[in-house]
Amino acid sequence: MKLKYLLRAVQKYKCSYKSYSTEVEIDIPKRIPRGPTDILKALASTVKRDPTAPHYKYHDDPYLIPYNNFTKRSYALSQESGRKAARWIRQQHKELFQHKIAEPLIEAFIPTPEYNENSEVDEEILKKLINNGFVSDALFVYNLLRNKKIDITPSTKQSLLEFVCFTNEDEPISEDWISERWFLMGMKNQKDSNTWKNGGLAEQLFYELKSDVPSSYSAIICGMCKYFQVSKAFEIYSEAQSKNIILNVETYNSLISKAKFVNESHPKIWELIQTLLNEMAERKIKPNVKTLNSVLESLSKMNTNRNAKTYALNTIAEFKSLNIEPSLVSLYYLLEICSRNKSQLSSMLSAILDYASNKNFTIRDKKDISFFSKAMEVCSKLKDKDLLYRLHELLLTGNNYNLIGDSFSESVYYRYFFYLLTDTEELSKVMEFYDDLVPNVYVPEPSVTNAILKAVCNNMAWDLLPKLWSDILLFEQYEVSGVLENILDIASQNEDKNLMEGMSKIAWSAWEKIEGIKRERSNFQWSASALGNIILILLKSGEKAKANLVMNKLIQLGSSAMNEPKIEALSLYVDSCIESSSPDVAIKCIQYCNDIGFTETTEFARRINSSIELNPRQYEKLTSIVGEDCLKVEKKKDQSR
Amino acid sequence: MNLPRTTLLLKKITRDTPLDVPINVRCLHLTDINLKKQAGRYKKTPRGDKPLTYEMAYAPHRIAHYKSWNSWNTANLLDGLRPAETLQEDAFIRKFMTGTWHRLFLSEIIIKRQHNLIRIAGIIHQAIPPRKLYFLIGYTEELLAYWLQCPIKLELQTVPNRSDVTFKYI
Repeated sequence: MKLKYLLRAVQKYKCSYKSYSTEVEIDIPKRIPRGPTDILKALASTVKRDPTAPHYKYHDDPYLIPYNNFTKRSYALSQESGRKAARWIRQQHKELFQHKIAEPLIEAFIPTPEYNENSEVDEEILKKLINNGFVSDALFVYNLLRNKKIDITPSTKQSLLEFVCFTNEDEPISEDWISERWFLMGMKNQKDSNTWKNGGLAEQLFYELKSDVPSSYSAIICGMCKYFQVSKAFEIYSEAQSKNIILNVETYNSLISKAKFVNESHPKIWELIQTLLNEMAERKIKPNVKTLNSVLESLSKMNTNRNAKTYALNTIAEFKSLNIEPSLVSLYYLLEICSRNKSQLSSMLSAILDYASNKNFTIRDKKDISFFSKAMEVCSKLKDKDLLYRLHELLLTGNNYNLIGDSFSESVYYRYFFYLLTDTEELSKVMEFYDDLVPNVYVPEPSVTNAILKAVCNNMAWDLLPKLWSDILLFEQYEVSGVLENILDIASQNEDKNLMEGMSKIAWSAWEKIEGIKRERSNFQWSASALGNIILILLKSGEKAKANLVMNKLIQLGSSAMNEPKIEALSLYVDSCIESSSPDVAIKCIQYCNDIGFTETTEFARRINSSIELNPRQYEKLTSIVGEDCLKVEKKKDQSR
Repeated sequence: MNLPRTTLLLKKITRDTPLDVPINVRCLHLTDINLKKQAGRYKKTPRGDKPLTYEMAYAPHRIAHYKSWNSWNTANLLDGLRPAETLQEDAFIRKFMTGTWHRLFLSEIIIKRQHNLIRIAGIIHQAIPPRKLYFLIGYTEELLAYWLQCPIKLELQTVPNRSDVTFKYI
């Protein structure tokens, strides 16, 4: 029995052994070459941004987390200014920072050398300065070298020329100051005006170099195009052509992108672009993605032309056959080109999203960062929420969020995002996004807050108001025109009995907040309607004493306050006075009604007269406001009854 | 019997020594060893109103039991690098922090080293507005980075009142 069992076991084992030993081809995968940081990237890709936490540039402590746009900006810039102070100290006390701990030496930690008239300089130093991008130092050292009559090789001169053309002799904001660049608004609004330094160092260098170094032509043309000295750039271009000098691809790119500035009519512009492109083909210069972008940029400037779109699409097709995929800014220009025609724009955006969906973009052109905010603007213009969702998904794909640009374009993106959502989407969905994005990713501007409040009003979702009000306090928007008025107006329309207490809390905190501000610091002015709404809300939840305070303010402001309170509020107030039988206060209110010029004044007066026993002085006062006749009429009516 | 030890000794001598030794001989004089340990301990006040943080409330022998180290590094392990330099740098960092963040640190300054990264942690008082704290953060990180030539990070927590870090009064 036992033997039998054993035998079976052995057989079983044999079987399973067989199945293991069948000759399965082991397929060893090919080795994938990895870079030194690939494992870090893989690890990083597992971490998503946590919307409940502030951006990592801020300290993760409740006291140090910024909650509105102003503090976001000021904290980040404060930290950077602290870093600048440290750098200043290092430069002031250079001799103290000469120790060398790091092995190998890290130059960023060592004070940068400064140069004066007596410094020993040579070409190597100049080269190094150019490589490190120190504009003013490089220019100073160059002048020093010239004064000392030290010869500089043409190749160094050429790199100096390229450097000067790139920067136009202005020191750019160093890349070390990340926050400053992030919060710099001016980049977008940079005007297309001629800022090229005429007769400056670049031109001097060019005239010295041009006979020896043909690539100096490329450099100077690029520089002039970049700083909008376009006509001169084209002059030099024709000079280069006559000398049969081969220019590089960047030069052609910059000429193409500025084609609009030398020609007036659209056909001529297009003709110029085509000649430039043909010339590139003749000279066997391979175009790159920036060539495509330059063509599209020029076309986007002539978007009134009917053919612009056809030209653009043909260009993209042609570049695709050259294996050049459009970058994000190409798509941006396509939107610009179609911006005249709404139906075209809609089909274009959806085609673009078809093309781009699930693609992981990296920056290939400096202007790539302008796509997302522009596309969101278009979505909001078209009022198409499907496009919005698709665009938002694209933004969250891979590392595409890095291409959102700077703080300005990020807030533009979310502004249009919320405009469109509040217009077209149901409120619950809007609030889902709101909870997700606010306040760590985005702080709504007052106009967006108003849009959300409007949506809340339309949906009669008063239960959201306490949360929104606390956010408004957090973002310090209560003083901004409209927001306070809006929220009070909506709160006063509340019909839900259970929420009355919450509403009165809002009203009272609004009152206390505004009254608590020092007058010198703010120029906020109560509007009568806001005060009226506060009174209305407070009375609805039975807070008479508080309402009295607000009423006093209203009476004190009188007709100097903007617009007028709701008649409903005043009527309720009179009623409450009658209830607590305080005729003096009621008469004051009636005086106010009369001053403002409500037609209901007499009706209120009658109501008081009929329901409270007035003493002669009070009666006299009442008659002096509304006239004896009105009250008498009332009395007679009563008697006749 | 609670006599001082000298007396005991004398008695012993009288009993054990031969009779020819005079009684007034100068013997070995011994007193109790003073086992007074002072470092890292705090003196009681008569009123018992001296606030101590959790860290201060425990004596050094409690380290690794009730509290932790103030410097975290591997310099003093076997084959550790730069033990002396690390100690000196830590002392420098503490001096720098107490001077730069004047009257702001309510806790000990904790210095943690990992590879070439130095993290400086602590609890500070919300005595100045966040804007200024951010300035100090930027300044400290950058200047210490220049001095120690490695990346520095501050990891701060803030408390609104000084008494928030009080663990007990003695």
